Amino acid sequence: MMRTQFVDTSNVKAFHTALRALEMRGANEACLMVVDGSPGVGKTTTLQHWTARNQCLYLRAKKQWRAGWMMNELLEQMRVTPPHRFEDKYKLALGQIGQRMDRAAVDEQSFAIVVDEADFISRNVECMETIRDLSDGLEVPVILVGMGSIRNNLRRFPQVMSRVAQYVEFKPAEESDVRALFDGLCEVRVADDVIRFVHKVSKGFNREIKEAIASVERFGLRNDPKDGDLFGLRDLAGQHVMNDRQSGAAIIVPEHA
Amino acid sequence: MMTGTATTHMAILDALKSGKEMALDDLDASLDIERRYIVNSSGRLIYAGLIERAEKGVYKITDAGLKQLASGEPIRSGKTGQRNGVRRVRAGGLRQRLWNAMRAQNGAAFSLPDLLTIALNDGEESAHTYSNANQYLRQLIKTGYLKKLNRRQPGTRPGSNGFQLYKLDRDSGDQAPVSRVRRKEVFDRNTREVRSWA
Repeated sequence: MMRTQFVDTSNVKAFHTALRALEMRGANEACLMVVDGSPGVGKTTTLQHWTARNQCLYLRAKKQWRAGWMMNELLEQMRVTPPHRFEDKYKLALGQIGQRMDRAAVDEQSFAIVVDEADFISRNVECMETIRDLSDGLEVPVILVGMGSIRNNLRRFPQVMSRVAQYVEFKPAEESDVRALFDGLCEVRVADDVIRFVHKVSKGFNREIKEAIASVERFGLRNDPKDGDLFGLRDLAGQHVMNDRQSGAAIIVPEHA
Repeated sequence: MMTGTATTHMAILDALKSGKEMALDDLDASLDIERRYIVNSSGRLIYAGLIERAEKGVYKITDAGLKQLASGEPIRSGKTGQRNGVRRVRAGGLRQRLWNAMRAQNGAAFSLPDLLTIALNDGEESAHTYSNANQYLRQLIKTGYLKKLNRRQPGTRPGSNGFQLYKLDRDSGDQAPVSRVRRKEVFDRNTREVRSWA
């Protein structure tokens, strides 16, 4: 099994830098943070890692979300039965979030509302205005996580856009990130040519890199490297390392490598 | 948290009331309390000046302790400083982090290694942590919080059977259920409910 370590890649570092900047923000009402990037670059794992050690409310937006449904899910996350009227839902949510913010402050932890898959609601004026109101009412940080359309869609709502204090774009992993992921997660040691190969064929997507790590580890735990103690591309020749994201075709280490 | 009578503190003090020195093993044998709670409470009683440590693992009641017993006043548990009315939830413990990680899956299936990747702090990865987390998951299954799926995540080691996949079936709130192994039960701090697996 791959190790269970959480690896600090350049994206993770950028996320933490932005969080620190959000905490030190100048304008109090600028409480929104947008985290975006292609699927499989580590956004959700990074957010889950952060929320596991802080007191956050984690919501996953749905395509059909309207403000009422969103508020119901928010209240259910706080184990409160949502009232019928929207006004009551809003008041109750303010009170409950306020209590949680106090509690987090006592424990010297961060508090935020995280909305994953926020692309679904980034064009929905009702949901975005409700988020803005909640955020303004309590100065609670709201982190909107999505796949790249949030930034463009928010341009339709200048009143919301002006409250975004931090943008973090999760980019495909660099070669150094692939090395960090292999060193942190893989139980067998690999040479630099494997790192370069995986970086190239995975196009820097964490999901594919982790697939490659599992394949290399499965092979490495059953075989010995030909020379030295590192597995090179020659050792892995003919091995299936991952599948191509677009075509689904198997990517195999070439024999002539 | 509301303060109540510190029953473990009182039981230890009562066991030492004869004034004789008692070893931790003797206290463990004579009291129906988990050893770790006896150790924890002894430290607090020493800090409060009610008992003293005659030598390592051996305790003796102090004059203040005898006076406390004679007064008939119960020792109160909880915070000793000024209270601010806010109930504390620490996200620092491993089991709380595991619980948070389960909730953050939003209904998706997960394996133990998936949870540990999210929940473990730097340098915490060890066989002991793995077994602790595994035990917690088993207790949550037995009390109906977790559901075992009929699917497994493939492993990479030769001969590996893969990893069991789970789904959170009962998300009762942000505070992790507390397992009480000796009583074979889990206490839910969100609903104040006790679920037994005996």
